[in-house]
Amino acid sequence: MHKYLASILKLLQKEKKASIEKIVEETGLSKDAVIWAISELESKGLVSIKKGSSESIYFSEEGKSYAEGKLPEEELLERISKENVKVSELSPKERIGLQWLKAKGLVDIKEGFLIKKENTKDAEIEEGKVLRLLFSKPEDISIIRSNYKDAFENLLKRKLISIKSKEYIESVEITKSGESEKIEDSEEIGELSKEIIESSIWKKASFKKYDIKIPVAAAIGAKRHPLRSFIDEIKNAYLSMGFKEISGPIIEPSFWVFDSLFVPQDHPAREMQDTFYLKNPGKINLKDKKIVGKVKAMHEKAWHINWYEEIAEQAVLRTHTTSVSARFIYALKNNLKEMNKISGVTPLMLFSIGRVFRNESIDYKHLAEFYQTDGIIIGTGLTLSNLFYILKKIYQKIGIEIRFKPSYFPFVEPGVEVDILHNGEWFELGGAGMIRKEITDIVSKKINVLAWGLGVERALMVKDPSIKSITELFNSNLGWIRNKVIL
Amino acid sequence: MSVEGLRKEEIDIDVTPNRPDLLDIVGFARALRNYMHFHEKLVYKIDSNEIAATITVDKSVENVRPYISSFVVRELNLDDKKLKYIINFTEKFSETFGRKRGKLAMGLHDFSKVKGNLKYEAVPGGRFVPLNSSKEMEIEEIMSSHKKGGLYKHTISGSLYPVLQDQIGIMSLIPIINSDRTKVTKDTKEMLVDITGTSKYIVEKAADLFACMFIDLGAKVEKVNIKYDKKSISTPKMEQKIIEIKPGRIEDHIGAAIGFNNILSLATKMGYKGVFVNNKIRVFVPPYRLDVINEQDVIEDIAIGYGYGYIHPLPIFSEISGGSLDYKTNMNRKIIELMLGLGFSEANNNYLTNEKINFQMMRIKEGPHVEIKESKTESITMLRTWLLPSLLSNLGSSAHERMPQKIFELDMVFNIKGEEVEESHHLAGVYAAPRVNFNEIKSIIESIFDSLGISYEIKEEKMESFIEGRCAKIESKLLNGFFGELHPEVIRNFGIIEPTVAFELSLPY
Repeated sequence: MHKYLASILKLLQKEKKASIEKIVEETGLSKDAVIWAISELESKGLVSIKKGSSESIYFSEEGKSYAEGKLPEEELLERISKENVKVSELSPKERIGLQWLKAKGLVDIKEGFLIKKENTKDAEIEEGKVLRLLFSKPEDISIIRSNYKDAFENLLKRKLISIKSKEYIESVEITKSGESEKIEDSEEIGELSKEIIESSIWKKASFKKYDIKIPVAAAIGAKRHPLRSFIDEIKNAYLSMGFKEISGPIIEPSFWVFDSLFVPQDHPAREMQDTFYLKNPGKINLKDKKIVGKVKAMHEKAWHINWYEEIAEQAVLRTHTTSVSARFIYALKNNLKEMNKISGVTPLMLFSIGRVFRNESIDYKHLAEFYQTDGIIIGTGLTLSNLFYILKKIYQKIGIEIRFKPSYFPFVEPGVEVDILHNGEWFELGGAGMIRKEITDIVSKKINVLAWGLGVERALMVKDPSIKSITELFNSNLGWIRNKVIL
Repeated sequence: MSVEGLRKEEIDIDVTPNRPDLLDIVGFARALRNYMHFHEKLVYKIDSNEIAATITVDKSVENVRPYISSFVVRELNLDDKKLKYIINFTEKFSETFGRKRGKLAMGLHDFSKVKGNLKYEAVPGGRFVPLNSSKEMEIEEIMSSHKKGGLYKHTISGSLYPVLQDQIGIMSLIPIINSDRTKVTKDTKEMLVDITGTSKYIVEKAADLFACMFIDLGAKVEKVNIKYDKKSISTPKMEQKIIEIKPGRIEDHIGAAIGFNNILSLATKMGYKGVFVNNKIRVFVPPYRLDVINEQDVIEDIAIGYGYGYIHPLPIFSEISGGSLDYKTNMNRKIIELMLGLGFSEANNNYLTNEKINFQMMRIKEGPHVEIKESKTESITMLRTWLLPSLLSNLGSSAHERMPQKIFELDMVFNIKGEEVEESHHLAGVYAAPRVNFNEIKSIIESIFDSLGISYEIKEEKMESFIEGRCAKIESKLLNGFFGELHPEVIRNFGIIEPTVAFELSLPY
């Protein structure tokens, strides 16, 4: 017999009956240990456990607010005493009050006005009194309940209060077989302790066996957010292929999001319905006037419409991370060293990953912000087939199948749509292509650039079918993160 | 264009916005015929040298809607179905490609009802019977009370209205509505088409596109003379842009060996007439193509004709230079590891928020912040200036999960310093539990600084979000921030039910 069991049984053989508190006091064991031990003893039929139950009261949101103030019928009654009240002008809360007053027959309606019946006194609404009493003295629930039976039942019916009963252990009694049980203090070791390890007791003693099937409380561990973790996986895939990571601003002048990428100023994507424009700061000055001039010329020549710097200065939240790529492509113009490297044999391979924004109405499928990853390869003699190779390879590393289709984006030619296989259906993951000469020629006539901008969340949803909607990924509910399977 | 879906008897086709010529069935059928080498038609021109009409352009339209093109269609053989189709297409074209008729719009008139020479001018007012109406109306009245006037108000900004008129009077209030007098019916034998807009090039190219459509419908197209102040032109011009490309360039661009003859056949497939001249491929861009700017566009079409699926992926041979991560990523990874070790789970929250969450619920006064101009969602008005409101929202939505609750976020916040926007990274953590106090968060923050090897100083701080006397700031050369026990009102505002302590640090990037 375990020593805890032995000491409790010994106590009960003497006392016959004891409360938990008493056992704790007499044996010096913790309350948890006592509870475990007596249930062991009960299962052996050596003791019996007497259970009692106690009731506790809970207040609903509504009940709580009434308890802190007044019931709607009390408020209404008070108002009627003071002024003439028209039924048609009652507030929603007062209408609730009216229902109860009518049910109790305390008021009449005459010509649209509320009239208090003659025999009605203010003090007659017992529910209010009882509710406040319960709220101030929840421990007196049983007395209050028996004193004001009807009012108490009404409060329950109105769902202003609710009762939950809880079981507790009243006492532990020894049984007949418990009394005659012979107690042997065995050498079985329960919990291992520093003292036991240091002594040599364990050499002779045996260890108490645990029941391995007993349910235990789940450990609470910290976890990474699945989307953030997936983003790191994508970064590692790029890294393993020799890409360098770059980053850029979230808040941009329209220039870097649209104009520098050959998106005409009357393009529908630039409309306020799709893009978040900012009130503060409303505009951001364009610094490199030389590039601005070249971009203006490129637009006016190709699109046959006037180009305005004021429109390009409007501040927006970037709608794609391609703005980061655009900044790096144009920056090469002033970076001779890097340019020489590129026109040699080494293409410059860059990637970025970050938040992008669309002015969407939010629902369970749509968010106004999400992640995008952009990549560019700047070099000489790069081909469409190179683009296909690199993209296939990156997504292979992440474990996702993709395919290519012709498509159109103003800044690439040829334009490619990248699709992803999800539950047997192909979905658009994003766009890719070779950056138009109009753009790259501004930097250098020698180079060409492969580019892509692809979604992140959809790819994760393909990998992890337990994620049902993109909104889950931006909730950060702790329970969801804790329960998420990470593989 | 691409196939979006296949059902038993239907195929969904997605047409990209650069190809307005595929928006109508006639153009679509033309592309399909060429693609399948079946009744190819590569050359479109106007046989007759006849000028069917003259439109004089008055200077008054210069600042209103400066450009017009036009042509006349004969031998139409209209029936109800054909007429409905033509009207639908012109409407669709003006809505989409024409940007709700602002950039471009087109109108159709029964040419037999048109008398004498035509004039395109901007007038302050005038009267005519609008289409499908019996009552004469004043222009201003149309603009204010007619349905079309309301729909297309945005196209007119000044006090002058562009109109097309003949000897009898106004034929069209452009781009709002035509007159009933020149209405096209299924009995119409000859039709006058007008196209107006803000870009000369686009207005004229659109005339080419529509002329091609009518030619494919079996009609005869005649030119109209447009007389501007200084010069006059005849539309449709039906210009065939000529682009010459070295075959090698095409192969180099795509990265596939296609072969000389194959390239020509692929060009035909995509609707170009092509010939070899001096080792170069000379392609004639059909007049209905509005999107072809230069050789890149032709190369793309040849790649599409070849089929993206047949382009074999080829590796890039390059000296291995090795990849690298942004220093921010490397730094963030270290901090994330540290926070996980301290038992905090990682959050991923929105940057977009509103003033109520960012300031009011935190009991602090509104400071300068990045504001959104117009949002489709009411709860989105600004970018967050700090992380704690996001994390407290997370705790609020997790109120019934097991305690203790620890969650952190390492991400961007947006502040306005002077005139400039500052985008920077913060690290913040919150810790809710039945018994948690100032000392617990202090020990956590000290552990973070010690692990990063940064010496620091802790000073008194007063912030309305925290209980007075239970808040401190921590300062160092690299990281600065604050920590403490959150005020009960803040805790309640977010629907959290247990005591909560928190910290937030600004990182040097």
